[in-house]
Amino acid sequence: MDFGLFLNALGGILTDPIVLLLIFIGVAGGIVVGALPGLTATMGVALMIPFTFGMEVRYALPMLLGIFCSAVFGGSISAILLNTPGTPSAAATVLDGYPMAKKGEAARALNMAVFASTVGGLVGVIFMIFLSPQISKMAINFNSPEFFSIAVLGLTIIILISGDSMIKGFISGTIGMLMSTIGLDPIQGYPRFTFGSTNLYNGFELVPVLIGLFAVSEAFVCCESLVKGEKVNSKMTRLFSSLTDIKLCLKHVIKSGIIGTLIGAIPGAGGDIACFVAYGEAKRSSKNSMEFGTGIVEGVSAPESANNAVGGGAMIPMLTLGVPGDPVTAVLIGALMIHGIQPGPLMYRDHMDVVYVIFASLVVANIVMFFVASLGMPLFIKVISIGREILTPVIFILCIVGGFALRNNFFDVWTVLAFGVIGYLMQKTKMPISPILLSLILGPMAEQNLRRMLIVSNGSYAPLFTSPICLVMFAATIIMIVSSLLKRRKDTLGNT
Amino acid sequence: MKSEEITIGGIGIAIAAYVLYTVSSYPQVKGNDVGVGFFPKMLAVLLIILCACMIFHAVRGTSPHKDVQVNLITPGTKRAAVALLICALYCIFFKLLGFVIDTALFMFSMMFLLKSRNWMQMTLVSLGVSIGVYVLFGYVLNTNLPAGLLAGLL
Repeated sequence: MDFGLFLNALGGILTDPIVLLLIFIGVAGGIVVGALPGLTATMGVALMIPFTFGMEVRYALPMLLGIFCSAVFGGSISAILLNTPGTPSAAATVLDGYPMAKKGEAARALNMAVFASTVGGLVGVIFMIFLSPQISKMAINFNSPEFFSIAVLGLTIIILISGDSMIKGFISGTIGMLMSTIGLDPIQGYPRFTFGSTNLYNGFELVPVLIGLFAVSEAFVCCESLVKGEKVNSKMTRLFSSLTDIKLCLKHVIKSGIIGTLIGAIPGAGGDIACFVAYGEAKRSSKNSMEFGTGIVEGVSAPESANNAVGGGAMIPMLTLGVPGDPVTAVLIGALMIHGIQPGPLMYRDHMDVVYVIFASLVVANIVMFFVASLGMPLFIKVISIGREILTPVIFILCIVGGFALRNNFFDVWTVLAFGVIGYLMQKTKMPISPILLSLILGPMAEQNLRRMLIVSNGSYAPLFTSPICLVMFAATIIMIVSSLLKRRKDTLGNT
Repeated sequence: MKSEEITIGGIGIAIAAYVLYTVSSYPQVKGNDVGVGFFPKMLAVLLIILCACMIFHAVRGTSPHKDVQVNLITPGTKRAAVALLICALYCIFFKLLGFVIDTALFMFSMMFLLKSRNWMQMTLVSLGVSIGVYVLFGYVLNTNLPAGLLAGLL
């Protein structure tokens, strides 16, 4: 951790009004997307990527990171006011948030959600700032076998946690890996599965694919259900949490922030898991444990701190190893790649300036989120009332224009639509979507490193079984698969 | 979901068979490299095994989703299919009509599809969104959106 570089990046952001404005737009947009049930943080980041195509990295990244850190918080607004978590990460917030709203304490719950989310987010970022350079120092010595084993582990974890059926997750991941082989072969440059189309020489562009899978498919689902916007009458009597509430919850907020960061750093374990673990721990350690679930402010503080800290944790494997911690960070990798940056250990060698822009942007974005959410809460509450008959077509338009804006190419527009249909059908048939995207990112990493290793070792697989790091990774992969199988077997026996 | 899982398994096996057929014509190994078809071939074999497992579970009734009912013909899915058709028409006429007119028509028809019947609101929102997005992408973000029929005006 180089404080000089960090302060330089922080100064660059704070003295540039355009960057601050973009962070503000990103944060406000993220809260809106998160607050609307059915629109996920992943969709928010996917929809915003096209807005950054023409921007320099120092402008694009702060805006995207603003959405990234605020969309999870946005989910708490509908969780507290509507009893419907805006994002899966806000599921535990409902437990005490909605009872508080019913008691007429919605403003108190929302203010605590803002405070806890900000502190939790900052805890996650601080861990990320200090831990990721250390991990990257270790990872910089990795060679092809180690990178191949990391890709295999990353894919396995994501597949195992997405959906109820492990086979469907593996099928989804394998199809994603096959899709990643479309285009020119990375070693010999031979065109594979391109059907003679030059548009496919570089494979499918990541951004149209992720917009289609995560945003268009959700818009089709919105078309199905015809949900009307719900009128919410909730007056914000205060703008900030009281000192009494802060004193009462501070220890839960910090502890939950650490829990969220650690869970977030495990690829695949997302905010929904972290918020329940933090809620359980807060309930266990609180003097008021019997009152949890009846509408107490401590019950809002713990999950909100944890789910926002997950972002910082999930960024650690993404930045240091190039392995996304969850679907949102997978989308963020796509955004970075658009701007010519490949996350992974080499990023700390080749793009140190960008690394520190990311660190500083996340710190600033969390602080901006505190003020935007506190002062703009009455407006965000009104946003929940927007009818889906307006919102859904707007999402479609942004997706299609986003696909077009990438290269001014209609092939990308049709890609967006095609993957939207694929994503929709996958949702209908309970096939998990995330493994496809992660396989598209990790597939080339797995193939290139496996083939490079085989070239260097004259076709021998021995390096995979002699490197201690590979052995640890493969052991972890096997343990994950076996424990997941045992858990599913136990669940099945329990249900019968 | 038995029949759907068998269908998905069948599609997966068909994709894998196509991959295996295609890679058989790829150039053979050069030097120490395992060849351009090595990785896709490995994945295709894996896909066949996985799809066969899914079909096996579906037939035996041991799939975790065996009790999930998938009804692909409901009013909701029909609406989603019409939305897809409108989206396809939107993309087809994107260049010809130009972004502003095409988007306003798209917005209006989608709002109608989603049961909005306030004509004044539909008209104003359609025009507002199409002009707003055009200004944002065309002028602020410098995207070259087609002007179409309004080429002389925009």
